Amino acid sequence: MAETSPQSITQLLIAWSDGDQAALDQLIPHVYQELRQQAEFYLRQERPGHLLQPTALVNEAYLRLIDCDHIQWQNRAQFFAVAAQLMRRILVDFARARDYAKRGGGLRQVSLTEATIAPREKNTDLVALDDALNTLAELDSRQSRVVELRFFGGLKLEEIAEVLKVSVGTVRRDWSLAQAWLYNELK
Amino acid sequence: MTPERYQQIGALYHKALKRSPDERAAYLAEACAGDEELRRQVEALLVAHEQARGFLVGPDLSLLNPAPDDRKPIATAGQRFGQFEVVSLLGAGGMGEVYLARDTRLARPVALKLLPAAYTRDADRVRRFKQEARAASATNHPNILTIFDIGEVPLGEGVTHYIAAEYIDGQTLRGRLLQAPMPPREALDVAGQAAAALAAAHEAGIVHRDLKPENVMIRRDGYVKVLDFGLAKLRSGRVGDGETAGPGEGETRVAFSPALPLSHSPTLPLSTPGMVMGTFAYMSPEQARGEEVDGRSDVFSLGAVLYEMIAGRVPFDGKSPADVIAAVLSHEVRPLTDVPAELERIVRKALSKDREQRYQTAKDLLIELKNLKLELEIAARLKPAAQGEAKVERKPEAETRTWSVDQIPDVAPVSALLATPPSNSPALREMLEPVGGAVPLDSGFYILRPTDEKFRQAIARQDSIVLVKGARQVGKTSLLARGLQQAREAGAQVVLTDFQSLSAEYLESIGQLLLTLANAFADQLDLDVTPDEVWKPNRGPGVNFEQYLRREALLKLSAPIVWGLDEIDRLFTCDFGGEVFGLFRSWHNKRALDPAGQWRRLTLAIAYATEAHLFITDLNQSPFNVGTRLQLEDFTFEQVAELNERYGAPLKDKAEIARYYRLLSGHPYLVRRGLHEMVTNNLGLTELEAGAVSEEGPFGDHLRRLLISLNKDAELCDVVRAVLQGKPCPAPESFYRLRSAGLAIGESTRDIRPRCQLYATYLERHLL
Repeated sequence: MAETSPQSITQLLIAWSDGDQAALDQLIPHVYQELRQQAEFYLRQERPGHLLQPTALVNEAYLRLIDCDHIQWQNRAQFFAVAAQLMRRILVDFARARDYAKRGGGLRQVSLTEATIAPREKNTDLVALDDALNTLAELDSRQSRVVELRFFGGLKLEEIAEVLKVSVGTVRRDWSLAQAWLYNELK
Repeated sequence: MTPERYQQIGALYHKALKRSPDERAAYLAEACAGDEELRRQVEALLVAHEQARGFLVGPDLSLLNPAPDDRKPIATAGQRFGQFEVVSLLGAGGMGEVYLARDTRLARPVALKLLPAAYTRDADRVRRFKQEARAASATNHPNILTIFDIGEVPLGEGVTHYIAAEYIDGQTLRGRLLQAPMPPREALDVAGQAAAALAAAHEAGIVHRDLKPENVMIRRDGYVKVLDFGLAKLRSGRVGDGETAGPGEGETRVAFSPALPLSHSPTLPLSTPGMVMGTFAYMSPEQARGEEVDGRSDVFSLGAVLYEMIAGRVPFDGKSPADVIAAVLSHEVRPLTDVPAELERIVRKALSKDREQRYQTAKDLLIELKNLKLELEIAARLKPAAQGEAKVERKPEAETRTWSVDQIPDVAPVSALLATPPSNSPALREMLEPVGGAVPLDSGFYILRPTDEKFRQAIARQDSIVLVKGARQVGKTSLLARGLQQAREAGAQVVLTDFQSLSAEYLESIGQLLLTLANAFADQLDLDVTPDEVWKPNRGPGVNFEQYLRREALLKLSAPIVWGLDEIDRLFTCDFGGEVFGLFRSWHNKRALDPAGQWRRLTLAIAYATEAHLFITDLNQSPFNVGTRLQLEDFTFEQVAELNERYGAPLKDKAEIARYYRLLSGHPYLVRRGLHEMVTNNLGLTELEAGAVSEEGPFGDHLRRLLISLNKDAELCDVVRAVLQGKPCPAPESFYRLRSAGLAIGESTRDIRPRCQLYATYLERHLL
């Protein structure tokens, strides 16, 4: 993958916002790379009790990749929408990888009914959340997307409304119901 | 839960939230109008709403850090879970453990997955899990991991849930790829079987979403099993035809695959140790973009897997995951070298970036894979003869095999599909049975096909209705007979009705017919009460029959009952046929509504000829839309070769088999008939070919009957003429009619062609 300047990545983002699908395809690997490096960096710190929010990662990636002076906030929302999706995948992959490492040893590893019967841990188990979001997507795909954008991408309700082309009221209602439903699924 | 239900719950949730907390209970009681479950669900959400403030505002990534693993194995060798006895631990994963166990009842090995009590306190989750495991098992396909049983046993302070699944003795495709390069034909075979699994899953509304060499297993006998529908999505409402359709929401996790660390893979030089990155290489562009996936995404993944099997490397590669994603999204796939052009075309089509350009269904891909595999096989067999290489001499009788299936290079073992052949003795000719009608149960000339296994499974599962259909003389009755025999051996009570043998008077009215059928039950099951004693004239015949069956057979016998109905197409032309089929359907529905009821113990195994479709002009009238359907297929090239061996190899070499196969395709009856003729009259292939279409020849009766039924419909004759002249079939309807009648094959009105060369020659002679 060629090195790309903030200007050209910004151009890709704008081109995509204007409807150029190929621009998105070029953009995704860059955003992914950036997010993953950041995530890995933070996770290597291994400072106990260190609190890291994915939204912070996405923000950092945005600042590093995008030339913020030449872009409108709608484009920003679109960037975050893509980033949220990638962030989710990265974090869930990390969580699964940790799980594999944890269960190493001489045994042949067998992935099991992982999230269908999820353990109840105090913190939100990312794998379980990922699965619950998939389940929610089957019931109401927009609600699942709202949570993804807010939780993994850190988008504000207004930005989510812009990305999903619905009213802020709708996003608020979606969030309320999805949050309650997921709480029951994961508690 | 269905999306509709979720919307309904959501609407009430929002309305209730608008009211003050003390008004909510009364509001919901009224709005839910007696639907207690609905009220309970909405209230649970309202409670959650109060507690969930701040929930999901941001996770603490420190929870990704590894925790000390202090888990002890759940079970020890010898421990029993239901009928399953633990043998050894196969592996452990995040949420449970998988053991090799023994099914004490059926004495077979199973993979037993145990879910610790700690994870199963949530009744709702467990319930959904079970429903989904059931739904997954409803896909019932020989290439998909079979779930045998689910259950629970008290253990320690809680309850341990278990799932028993088929134990697969073999290796993953990844393991196979690490050993040696794969020849194209083996790759096609594996890909074809995987495509068949996907097609079945898609039909049941399940998208795999994570197909890769790690979760394709190759059993020792060559059977391919796709497992780990680990990310699989189950779309609501489309699973099965009724009884097995659970609520259908959410995730289906049927993950039994050994998770191989990807660092072991030479084809994926992805640096980060321990990271799970493999799926990116098989992920479709739409998945990479986070868009909705459908069956076509699985087609892409299978294309990537096929590419790797052939090329020994993944189609999209890169130094980092980001590079792999970039390649998936926008790079052209690297060209394949030294492979047939057709194979490259198939792979490229499957790997199209735009899903509209791909095969639209796994089934389409499957068909092309199958055709290509066949072409390659025939080409490979024709080659030596064409080059004049080593002409195979007919060997002495003690060693009649001119070639054995195992000796053909590059072909996946097919021996698994074939029953043990009789030893080729000099007395072979004397023991030859006449060809025609059902193949006797003890015959050495019965060729097992995948449908045999499916039929056996359906009977073992006690499905409500099992349909065996196919063109005339394709082997339906033989299959039915074997299935019933196995049911008998397994302790079921079996009743057989052959509709062809019913004399016309019994088919005059529905009352007459049902009474006859009830008498058959009384006779064959030796029931104490005869229908005459309880048949009431003031009740409809349907009610009489149903009550008789329930009270006198199902309630009084403890064993399951399997009712075989052969040649039921005879009912298609009766006025009351629809009523009878309606009755069968209603039993099917009763089972779905009352799973614990008596109807659960009744299985209808129905065989009918699709040839009847020649006369059903409206194809929507097809009498069955419920049950497990088994379409009997023609013999494959290998199966024809195997049958030839069993007949003492009258076809002398590969080239002859190929010629014979072209003449008859795999038409089960014709193939047997021809071999029988050659052996009994000591004919060579050339002589057989010469007399093949003559009225006096071995196929004369068959061909004549074909022509007679065709001549009843002038319009259809015109269509056949067009097809013979290589024109497309004018209407889809006639295409389907010709195909279900076994007259023509092909996948569309354009590519329709006569089923075999014999048909083409004969029909040309009589129709053109």
